[in-house]
Amino acid sequence: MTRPRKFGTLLLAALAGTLPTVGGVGAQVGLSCGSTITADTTLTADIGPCPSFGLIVGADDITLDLGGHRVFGTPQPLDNAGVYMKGRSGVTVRNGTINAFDAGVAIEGGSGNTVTGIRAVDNIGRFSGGVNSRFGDGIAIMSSTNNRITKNLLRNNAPYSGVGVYTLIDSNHPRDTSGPASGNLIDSNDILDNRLGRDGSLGSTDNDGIRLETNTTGTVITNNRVNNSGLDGIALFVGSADTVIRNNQVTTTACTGPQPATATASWSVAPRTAPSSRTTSFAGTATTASSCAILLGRCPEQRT
Amino acid sequence: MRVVGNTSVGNAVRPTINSANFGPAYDLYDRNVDCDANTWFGNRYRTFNPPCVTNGGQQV
Repeated sequence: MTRPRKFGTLLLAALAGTLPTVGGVGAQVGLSCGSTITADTTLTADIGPCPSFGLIVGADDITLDLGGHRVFGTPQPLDNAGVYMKGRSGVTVRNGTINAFDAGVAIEGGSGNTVTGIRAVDNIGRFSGGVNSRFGDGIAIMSSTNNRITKNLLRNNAPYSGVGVYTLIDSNHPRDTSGPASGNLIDSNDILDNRLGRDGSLGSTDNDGIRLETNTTGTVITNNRVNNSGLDGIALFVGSADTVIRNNQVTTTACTGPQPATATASWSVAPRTAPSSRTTSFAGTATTASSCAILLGRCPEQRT
Repeated sequence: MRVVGNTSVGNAVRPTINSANFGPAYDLYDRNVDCDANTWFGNRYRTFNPPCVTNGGQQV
């Protein structure tokens, strides 16, 4: 085991996994699974396999450059997020691969962060059989505002989305940070093959390429390529308002299998009283699930 | 809500298994009556529902 050394304001958690070596300006040594980053950092080696969390961002206005390296978890669920930031603002995460966690990048609270040049692949959580992951997305934005998700590859993440934006707190994305997810930009990403369902199979998937759940507002979705999603390519749940979806290519939505019985329940939502710019009205009876490229107004009740 | 200038084609191939459990499947789909206050314009698509999602668009 290598003795951890401080560099700048780096805080070190318990060592585990591969230790990177000293790098150039801004690089930090002694990073390992679960390390908290509090200064500009460039990785000089891969990190993993990590049993719980890859790197945690612990300061505002810093850059975590993966340096083309990989941060990786384990094939099993419950290893949390590859890069996790809670209550952080002005952080940039860029240039590398994050895979085999429950989420590639998880942004909880805070605002104005940027994720770019990240390959988030094979981050697969689970919500079935008594195994309930906190996440299940390539990139998850939870109760956070004005973030920029640009020029990333988000492939084979599950069971919720390639990119998921969440305002409400529920058992799928439990947290102690509340507040709206608003004003987020999802631009110029390749969002591919996010298909697997909550039980790890294709048969009951409700996995979406881009998923805006209830009460997300002001999201801008532009210039993305969304291909081969499990349920919907771009799905907006009821109450996701003031969204702009422009110049995306959405193809080959998979429609891979039947929804479970809970998705066939009847439901009724009272007509909206919100401002006319909002899509909150949805009255009727749904007896089946949908699989669409761009869909507005999926009812929360349709979630499994 | 504005849905403008997207290309959405080749989606919603009906599943080969248990298709009875699936509802509508479209390239463009707005489940709100008459699209509510949403603006759909200039999108390219093959399948759609309802017609209000096709404004200024092109079926390819």
